[in-house]
Amino acid sequence: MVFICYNFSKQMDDIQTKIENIKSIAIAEARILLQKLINENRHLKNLNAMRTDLISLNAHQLRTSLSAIKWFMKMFIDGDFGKINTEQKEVLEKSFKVNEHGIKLVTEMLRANKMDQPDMSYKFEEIDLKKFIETIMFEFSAEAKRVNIDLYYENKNEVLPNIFADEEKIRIVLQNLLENAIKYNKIDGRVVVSTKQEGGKMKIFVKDTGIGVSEECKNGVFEKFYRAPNAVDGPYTGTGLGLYNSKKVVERHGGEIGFNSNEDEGSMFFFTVPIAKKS
Amino acid sequence: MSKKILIVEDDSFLQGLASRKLKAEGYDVATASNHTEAFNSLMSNKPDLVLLDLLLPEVDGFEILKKIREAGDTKKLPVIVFSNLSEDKDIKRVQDLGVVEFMIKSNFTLDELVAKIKKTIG
Repeated sequence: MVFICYNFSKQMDDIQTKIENIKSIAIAEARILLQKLINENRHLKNLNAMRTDLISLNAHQLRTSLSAIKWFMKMFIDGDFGKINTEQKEVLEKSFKVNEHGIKLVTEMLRANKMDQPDMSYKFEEIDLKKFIETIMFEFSAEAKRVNIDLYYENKNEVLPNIFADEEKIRIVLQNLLENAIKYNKIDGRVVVSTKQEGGKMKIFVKDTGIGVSEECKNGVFEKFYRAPNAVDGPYTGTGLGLYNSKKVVERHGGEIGFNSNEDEGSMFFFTVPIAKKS
Repeated sequence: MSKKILIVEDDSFLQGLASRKLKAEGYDVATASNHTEAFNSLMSNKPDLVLLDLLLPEVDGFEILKKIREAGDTKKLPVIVFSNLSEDKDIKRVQDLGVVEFMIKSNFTLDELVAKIKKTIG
């Protein structure tokens, strides 16, 4: 009996020792793995920083070249280098527009590059929503008039609560939605901006009577560089980055961005932003 | 007497275009491509306004602006920064040092630059 007990106890000790050994090995391996992960993470962060810097540097150089072309062409168009005929002027004006599109593309790429950084700083503050909407709509009023679009603000007689947002960045969202609503609209079309309170958030809608988005294209709308076939085929210029950037901004505000659309009938995009606490 | 403008820009093409436009508007224009030329011109030409690029060889526009603000006789000299840098931190750094305007080169034409200069120094 004593022998059995001794034997059992010894076996238990052996098992215990083996468990301890396995534990030690497992801890040592886990430490090595953890260190590897830390090193890999550091390496990826460095690579990401390098990528950001490289894009930023290239974009800067590209913008410098495009600026030179812009300044030069405008001086030609204005006759600073001597009188030009109507045909020459038309060609230069078209080239100027193409160059402007290039500048916009680089600017949007830079913006997307920044938006992709998880540590990008946001400066949240209380913003007068009504004034914010009216100011941006005013910026687009000349363009809307030029292409004969009726730009209308539905809540102009209402008192709206203030929102809590980074004004510079949330401005990008409404600007993108308005720009698209005007650009992809039809002749004599309409763009209506409206707002609605939903719990602690304000929902801002931009409704248009434009070309709309087909069912099969709806999933791609917020993807980087995505442009729907009916946008690419038409006379519209775009970068495919506006809505991608807008989504990033809205998400950092803890909000939601989405849309309803029917092809050839129009779209209604919306996004939400938090209401300021004092409001 | 014509107002004097110093353009500090290392891209010779952009410098040439801005210079030509401003001369056509009746300004007396001096140019510099680096910090040495810029400070020499600041001393000798006593400009009424400086157009300053930020990315320059050896000593950048931020340092030049800092030195302009530190020196007694150029402390209040109007400076318009024109650059294709557009990061918030760059704009803030320049604004903290005191400038009339931060203009992103690709976002304006030389007409708009002239309008800004006229508003600042006439």
